Amino acid sequence: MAWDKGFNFRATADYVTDGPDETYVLGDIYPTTRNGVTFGWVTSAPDETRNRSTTVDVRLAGQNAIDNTGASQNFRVDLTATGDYTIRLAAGDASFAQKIDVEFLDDTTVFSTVADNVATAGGQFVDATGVTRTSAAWPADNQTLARTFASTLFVVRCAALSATVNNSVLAHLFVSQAAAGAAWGPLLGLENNRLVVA
Amino acid sequence: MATLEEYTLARDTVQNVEGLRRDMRRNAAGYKADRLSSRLSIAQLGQVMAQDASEYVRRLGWQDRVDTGALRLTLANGLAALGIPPTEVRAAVSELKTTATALRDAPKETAADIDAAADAVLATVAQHETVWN
Repeated sequence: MAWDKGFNFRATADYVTDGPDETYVLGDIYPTTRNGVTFGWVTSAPDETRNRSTTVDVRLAGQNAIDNTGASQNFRVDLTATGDYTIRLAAGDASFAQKIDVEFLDDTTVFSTVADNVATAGGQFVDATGVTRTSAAWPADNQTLARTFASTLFVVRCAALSATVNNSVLAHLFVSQAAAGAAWGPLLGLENNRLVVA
Repeated sequence: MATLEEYTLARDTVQNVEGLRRDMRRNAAGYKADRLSSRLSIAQLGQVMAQDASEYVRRLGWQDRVDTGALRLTLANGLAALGIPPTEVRAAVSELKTTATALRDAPKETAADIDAAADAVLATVAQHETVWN
């Protein structure tokens, strides 16, 4: 059974229509269960939730923001199991300039500092590999990050690094469990009907 | 009076159980809406419903853990400080667990299955009033 979970951060559920593997996040507090996954902002709601644009990709239509002058906040996703996952991210705001601090954690271990005080203009988004892309380019060009999780707790920590003005903003997060054996797929092939290792 | 640990355990219990009640009812209404709009196929809806049911059971498992052994008294003291009888919490957990298990085991192969399973959740999980919606 595929386990692909997308989170579209915005202010109201009906602002846009989510894709089949996605649900909205309206500042939901952990634990919230929807779309087959338990998730949410830990302890308290984000500083703001906003609908921004219906003319961009639906995944970039809104945002949840953490004020960089205040305390950091964590968005938590309970994974279905430990193991291999790919992660997709859009951190930014379709309308306004922001400063992005985003880290990925496996339980309490930081495994990627995605953005540390990265300036984004309105309509720019940082992807999971830390590259800033326009709203027009992000849907086709954004890159995923692979991670073998040792725990079942994926945390996105916002506003805990160098940014001191504006907000650290999430627009979209997608987590996909790798299919069993997928990690070996690219390394194996058939040659004259014999299995070979590349 | 309660200690910080006792209060926290009780507060988290209320948030988990009442939040789960809200999630189960909203999701059940969502299944029917998604079925009508065809946003998700029947197969996709069935998969999401099964995954949701598993998550419900997992969240209720948290309550089983804190309502046994030494933590049971800790939770009871916290609930007492809030004026909530532990029996009311146990009844709510039992109510939700019965429904979650039924949802997990229900057939989800057809549109009629989807509606029947969603209706069963709405019929058996009582709606509690909230301040803001």
